[in-house]
This record gives sequence, C-alpha cells and structure tokens, in this order.
Amino acid sequence: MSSTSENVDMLSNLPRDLLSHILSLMPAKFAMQTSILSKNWRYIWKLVTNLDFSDLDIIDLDTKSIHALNCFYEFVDRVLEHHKASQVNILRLRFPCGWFPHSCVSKWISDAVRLNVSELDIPIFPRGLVELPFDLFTLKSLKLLKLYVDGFRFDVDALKFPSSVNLPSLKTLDIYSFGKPPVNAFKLIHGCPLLENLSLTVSWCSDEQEFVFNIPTLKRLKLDTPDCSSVIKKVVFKGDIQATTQAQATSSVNTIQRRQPSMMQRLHNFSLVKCNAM
Amino acid sequence: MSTSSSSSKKIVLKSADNETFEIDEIVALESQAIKNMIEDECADNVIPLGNIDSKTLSKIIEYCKKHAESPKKDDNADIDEKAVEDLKSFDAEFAKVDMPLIQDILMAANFLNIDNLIGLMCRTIADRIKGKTPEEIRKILNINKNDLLSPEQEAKAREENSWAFD
Repeated sequence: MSSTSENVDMLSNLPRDLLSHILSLMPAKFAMQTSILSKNWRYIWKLVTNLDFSDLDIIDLDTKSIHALNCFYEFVDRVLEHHKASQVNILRLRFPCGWFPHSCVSKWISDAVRLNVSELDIPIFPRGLVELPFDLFTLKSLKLLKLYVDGFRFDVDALKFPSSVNLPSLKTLDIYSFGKPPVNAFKLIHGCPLLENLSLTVSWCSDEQEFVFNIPTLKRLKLDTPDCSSVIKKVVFKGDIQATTQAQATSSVNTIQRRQPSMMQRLHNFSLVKCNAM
Repeated sequence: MSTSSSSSKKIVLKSADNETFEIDEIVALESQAIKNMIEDECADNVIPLGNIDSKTLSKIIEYCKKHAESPKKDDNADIDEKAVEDLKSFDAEFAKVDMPLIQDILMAANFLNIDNLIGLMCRTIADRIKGKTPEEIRKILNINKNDLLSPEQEAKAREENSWAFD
C-alpha cells in the first residue's frame, strides 16, 4: 500500500470513512474548499459529517448576497440529504434567525434526528409557539443540545412540547426560560437521566421560587437568574449518592456564575440545600 | 502495565518486504484486528502483513509499544497527568513525518484497526491542510497537474458553493 510513488494524488484514494473522518476534523468551510483541488476531489466534501458553522466567518454571510445564502442553504441541505444511511455527528449553525425561515431550520433538525445527530446547536426563529420535531425529544444519540435565537439562548417555554421527554445520552444542556414558570425547562432537565453539564437561565420571578435538581450525575451547574435572584429562596440538589453528593453540591455552588457582575452580591440570598433523603 | 519480560508471549509480524518483527503480544493487541485473530485462534506464530512495508510497520510497532506501555484512560479515572502529557508529546513527535508515510501509516492502521492511531493520523492530515490555499494543499497532497479542474469547472465549483469561498 505504499503511496510513495510519483504522481499519486494522496488521500483521494483513501477509504471513504477515513476521508470523512479527516474532513470532519476541520470547519465545514475548509472541507468545502477541497472541491476545487482536483477532479478527484470535486465531490469528496460530501462525506463531511460535522456541519459546524460556529466560526465567525459565517457571520460574513450577513453582508453577502441572497445568492450566497441560497448556496449555503443548498449545501446544508445536500449534505444532510447525502447522508442517507450514515450519521451526522454535529449540526451547529449560528446565524441571525431571519436568514432562513423556521420551516427550513425545522427540516434540518428532522434530517439531523433521522441521522442520529449527537450534537445539536441551532438557531430558532421565534414566532408564537414554535414546534420542533417531537422525535428530537426522544433521540437516543443526542449528547448536547443548545437552542439559540440571535446569539441568545432560546426560550424553551416558547416551544411546543411533547408530553414526555427522554434523552438517555444527553450530557450537556444549555437552556433559557423567560417570562413564566419554567415548566418546559424542567421537563427537559428531568428527561435527561445522565445530565452532567447544565446551563440554565430563568427570568421568571416568584416568592415561592424553588429549584430542585434531582440529577445524581450532574457535575456542573450554571444557574443564571438575571431578574429574580432576590426572590429565589432555595436551590435544592437531590441525589441518590450519599456522602459524595454533599461535595458535589458544594462544588456546584462554586460553579454558579453570573453574567452580570452586579448580581454577584445577591448570590448570598440563595440558600443552597442538599437533601439526601428523598 | 506491560512489563516486557522475556517470558511474555511473543508475536511475529512479517512485512510485505519479508522483514520479520518479533513483539510482545501485549503490543500486538493494540491492533483490534490482530486481537480478534488471536482470540479466534486463527493467528499462527507469524502473522503475514502483505500490504504493509517494513518502514511503515516499524513505525506502527513503535506507536503500539508506547501506547501499550502507557496506562489506559478507562483503567483509572485518576490517571497520572504526567503520563497523559508524556503520551501527547510522543504522539506529536510521532506525527512529524512526511505525507506519504502518514498516508501509509493511516492505511495500515485502518487495516490493523488501531483506533487511536487512525485518529492521530487523520488529525495530522486535517491540521496540515486546513486553512491553506488550494495551491498549497495541492502541493501537500501531491495532486497531479493533469487532474486539475479546467478553469470553467473550477469557476462552476466556486459558484456552487460561493459561501465557502471569499
């Protein structure tokens, strides 16, 4: 299998899964650029399995033409179409919500669900009650879920929610709930039995506010309460683990962060309670 | 983990150019393919690898030795950080070879099913070509001038995915 002979185009003869592996280790834009290298390389980009558009240069598209947007749309569409039998690992799209209609993003999510995506990080276009494919909420392969709107996390309580949520592989969840009791947020959290990293922003205020995190696997919690830290009485960790959970709860307290430094003072209004007995 | 005592079981690998390499079984087990052969008892004392030349094979053995000697991540959560760093710098040094050899190692690692090595070679290749100009990549990959797209074809490719090109 020596490839040292002259005039042999390296790589393009590699098995498809190896090419796919290599392309997926670079931003999709670079993978796409290989299409002009040579005749052999013309369509190898289709093997890409990570659709990661979190890098800043995609923002440049904002100033580009409708044509460029259409091309981008077709690219995502084609890659998702192309992977009929295999898997897409990452679908990460960061762009202003007006770029593409919700129906289009929703279709991509459906495709990604069909392809057993493991990381989904996407923008949602808020308009009334937003419906996402319900299959998403029972997707076994999903390990990371982030929903965004214009650079901010999307309000999960503006989503139409299925009656049950079961995400057995989900380890990282980054959610935001605005303006009412965070019912969906906690429905989602409680549907993730192996959650390790949780970032939750809640802006609903109530005298009775109490947060209960009954997640033994939780390692990091970032709780952001920009408008209502003064009224939140308790954040409760409940876990099955006895001695170690106390330490876990303590370390979680340390990782609570605030986006606004002025809020740090009010952190003392929280009492963090660990209940071993359920 | 592995102590290469003289009493440990040996495996002999034979390259395409008929060079033989005697290695500890534990080193050979880094290859899932060889592991399966041994477990299924279909490995003779000498395993012929007719598609891997001796230069490539000796590099692969160097890699497998080092990785077999290092503690595995899943063995212990409190793994020595120094060992991890040590392995990382070994990998970085190991990957400092020319592209033809990288490709040969990748093909062989794929054949022998050595996951970590496949990952390392793929990362190395990706790192070498990402962000480079088409001309630079063509040079790195030794792309034949006869295989280039015509100006019209290239213009069409750029047009189709204009978002990816400036």
